[in-house]
Amino acid sequence: MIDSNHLLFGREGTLPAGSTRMIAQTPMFDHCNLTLTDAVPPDLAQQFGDLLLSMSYADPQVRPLFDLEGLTVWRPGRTNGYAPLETAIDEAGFYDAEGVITVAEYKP
Amino acid sequence: MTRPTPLIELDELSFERGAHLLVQRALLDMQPGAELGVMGTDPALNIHLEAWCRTQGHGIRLPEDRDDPVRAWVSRGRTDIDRWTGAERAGGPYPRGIQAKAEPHWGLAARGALIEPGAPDLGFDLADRDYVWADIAPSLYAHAASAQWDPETAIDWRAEVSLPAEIELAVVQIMTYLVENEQAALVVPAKLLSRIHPHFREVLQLLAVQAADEARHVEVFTRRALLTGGEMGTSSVSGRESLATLVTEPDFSLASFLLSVLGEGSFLNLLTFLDRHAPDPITRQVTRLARQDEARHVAFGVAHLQHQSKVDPSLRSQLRAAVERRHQALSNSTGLNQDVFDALVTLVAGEWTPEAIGRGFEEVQKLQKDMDEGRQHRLINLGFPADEAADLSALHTRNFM
Repeated sequence: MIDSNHLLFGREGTLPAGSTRMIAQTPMFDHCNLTLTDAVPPDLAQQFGDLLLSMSYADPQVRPLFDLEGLTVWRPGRTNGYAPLETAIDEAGFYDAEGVITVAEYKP
Repeated sequence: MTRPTPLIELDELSFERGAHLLVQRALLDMQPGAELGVMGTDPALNIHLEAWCRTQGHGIRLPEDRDDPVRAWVSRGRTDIDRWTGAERAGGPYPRGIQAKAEPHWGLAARGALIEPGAPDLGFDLADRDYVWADIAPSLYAHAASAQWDPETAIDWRAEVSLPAEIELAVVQIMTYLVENEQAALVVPAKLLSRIHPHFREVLQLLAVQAADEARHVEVFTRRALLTGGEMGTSSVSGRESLATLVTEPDFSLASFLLSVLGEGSFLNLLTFLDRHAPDPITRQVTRLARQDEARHVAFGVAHLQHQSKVDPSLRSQLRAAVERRHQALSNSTGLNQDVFDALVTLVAGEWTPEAIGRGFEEVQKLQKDMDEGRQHRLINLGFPADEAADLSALHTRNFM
């Protein structure tokens, strides 16, 4: 579970406040990442990235969009921090070799 | 001299139970980039503090020493400052704080509120003070709110009503006509108020009460009509044609002029007439109470147009054109439902003798003359010369409203 969900569940009462205990915590990783495939022309990808990074929370036109996403700023992409998550997923066999979810009853 | 490092003690209070309020308050007066030490004993404090800081745009750093009583250092961000940079007050809360032009993005915000920039335009197209405002609106609203009466208790519904059948039918016909007209008088302000920018809230409040007044009138007139167990009376095409020209008038000032100044103005005479000639106490009570409310509606209509004529010299020619247009639109319509006219005569006559009917007819003619004089008087109040006022009054619909 990510930290902001744990806080939200506690505030809303989904999990009664103080009723759960954190027994382990991974290092920080980025929960949301905008990923582009190789098919996107690099100059277009660059322009798109520049546009996102230029968005300012001080701009009243884009601020509601930030608020909707729970963001205050865009940061350059990074992939560090995912290793423990990847290991856990692999150990649990959640995906097969082709990347298909193996758990039959799993409904995202 | 360095300032002491700010610290906040949360004790056992967790972020699931409102700890953010204390942190937020402590950060409020700090400069962006300055650090606040957060202390507390909740086991999940750091995890939740970090999640909260991310959403608020604050930074966070953990102390190097694990025995440090400070659990985390929050570096103040600036998103709250950014949110309110460029914010403006939507005028002031009192009528003196009303602005000449209400901004579309103020939307439904309270007058005088601090407005965060942005948000959609809700499309209130009546947003100019000079177009919708009248200085009398706040006091008329206060009076209207205090003068609301309860249809259940304000009228003695148990009073005895035992009229000859044809007089009762005349009352029912008149009540049917009144309901139809009051429904127009309900719809017109309700349509207009949904277009007025809420910055001019006293005007909205007044129109809302005006619509509520008409709602009560519709109720009591209907109830009187059905009191003796009969059916409602007739509704003519001509009457409804006349009212349609009121309901479809899109211009606020012109609609207000046609409805309140000319229509409801004429109704003041009609309701006075019905009060005087009412054959039973309930008919008298319902028409008298309705008249009190209608007088307020007329007063606002006149005041609003007086205010507007001061700032718009072309107003009177627009009003004149509106009357002429409506007259033209109704040129092939007979106006008042003949059943209504006959019912008014019958009501006054009270019996079927030539002498009584003749007297009733004269009284209804006199009513129409009174209505005409009342309209002329109000037109003169709006600045029309007497001869023009007489011409315009004569063009008013024969349906009275």
